[in-house]
Amino acid sequence: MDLRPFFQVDDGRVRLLGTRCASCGTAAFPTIRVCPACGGRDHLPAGLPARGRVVSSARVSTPPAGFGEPVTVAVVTLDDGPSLFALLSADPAEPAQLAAGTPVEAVPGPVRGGAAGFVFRTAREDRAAA
Amino acid sequence: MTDVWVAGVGMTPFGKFADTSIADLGATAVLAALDDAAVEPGQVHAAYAGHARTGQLHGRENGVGQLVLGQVGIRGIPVTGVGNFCASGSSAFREAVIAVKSGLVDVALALGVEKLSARAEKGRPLTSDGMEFEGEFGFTPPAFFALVAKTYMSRTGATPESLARVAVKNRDHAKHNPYAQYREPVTVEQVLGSRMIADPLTLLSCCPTGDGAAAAVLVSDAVAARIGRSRLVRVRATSLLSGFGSPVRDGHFEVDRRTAAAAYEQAGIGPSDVDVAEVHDAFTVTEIIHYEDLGLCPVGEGARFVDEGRTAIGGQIPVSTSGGLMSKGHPLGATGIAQVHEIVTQLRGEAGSRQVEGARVGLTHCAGGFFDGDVASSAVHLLGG
Repeated sequence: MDLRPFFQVDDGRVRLLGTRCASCGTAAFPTIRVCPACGGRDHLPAGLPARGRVVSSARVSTPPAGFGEPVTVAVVTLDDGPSLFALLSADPAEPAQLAAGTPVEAVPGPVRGGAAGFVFRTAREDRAAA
Repeated sequence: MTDVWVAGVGMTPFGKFADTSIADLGATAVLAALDDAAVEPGQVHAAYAGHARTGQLHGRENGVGQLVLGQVGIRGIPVTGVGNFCASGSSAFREAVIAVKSGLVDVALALGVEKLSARAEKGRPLTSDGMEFEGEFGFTPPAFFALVAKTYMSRTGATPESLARVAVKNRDHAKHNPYAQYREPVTVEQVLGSRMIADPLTLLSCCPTGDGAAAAVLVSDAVAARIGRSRLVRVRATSLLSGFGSPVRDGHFEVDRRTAAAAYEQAGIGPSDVDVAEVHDAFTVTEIIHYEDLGLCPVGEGARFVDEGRTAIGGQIPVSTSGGLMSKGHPLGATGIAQVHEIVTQLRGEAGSRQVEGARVGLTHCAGGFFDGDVASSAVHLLGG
């Protein structure tokens, strides 16, 4: 599926295209219409920084079609609040699995079938502080 | 308002039946249920058909109910397809219960059918409907439940051995169930030593797929009085909720807790009144978590519960006496009604070598699909008593 409606890359940094409540600031990804926190109807488009923390990660030996090798997946909670299912970077310099609570950030990278998307890796310190 | 009674149940064996059509599978289950209820096809006033993959696999996204019922001469009644992921059968059963409860009809039929052996991607986990976005990032159902398992195990200290004991127990139960697809016993070592799918879930920690059908006949008080109530089983509660929580964060399923609480409230009973249960053991870890979420054991003690044999036949509260999805396989649309089949068989005292002595109240639980980090649906029914 075409992931372009879901993210953009600015200066090497991934932003997830979600929404944010004009009334209370609650963020959502993917986009929603009505705020789950305050009921506000103005959930406006927002580019959410793809930074957060690992909730749980697991090595998947039998991935779906379109992946040649085993992959590591995770659920990541973004600093802005929403959580998403994430593919972790296959970079050999990255740990094979990330403990719960590990700070992570997304970088552009291949997803299923080698298509252009984004993958999460351990956060670099300069960005974790940003 | 009338009570609702299960007057009859029927099912096919679950397995891989390449040469049997979904029409034939469904018709076999429906005829068995009608005969069990001593109800003629012409007496059925409404029917609900659960199926989840017939569109993708058999070019029939709609109309499976009409296809099956056309085989047995049931036409000219309201027939509705019910799609709700793995809970499609449970949801069809619920719709049939509601139809009778409402007073609109006196006899309703719930059926579920699936033929998954037609799928092409053998050797890989079944994908989940509606998860195309997450699939780009490697999502599969075992991957999701592996993440839940990691959180649950770190919270509770549950070990891979305890998880494996669910598969061992359910296979042990299945040896007495002629409808189960896999009836050979397995050991903890075999479960842990089988091919890794998504750590910590090995192949034998995941339920197999399969083909099959199941059906149930629901009747009102008026029809129950005519049939005679000696073999009828009362439906005490039907509860269905969509997901809203975060099981990977929580290590449990908040939606199941709320669905079960609503069912117990409807029935005016509590978990300690349940004598036998069929739960959604799609993965070993999920059965353990379901013990806790359904209130069958205290929170955090699910692993100890299976370790001590309390959910085995002969234990405190036998779970998955049919062998569960682990041994029967999981033909999505049929699964929820097959659970009802097992509980009705138990409550009638007709379960033979796997009979739970003195079983009066039974529970079925089926969860289905995924949405926004949670399961999409949770269904709980209470029967008997």
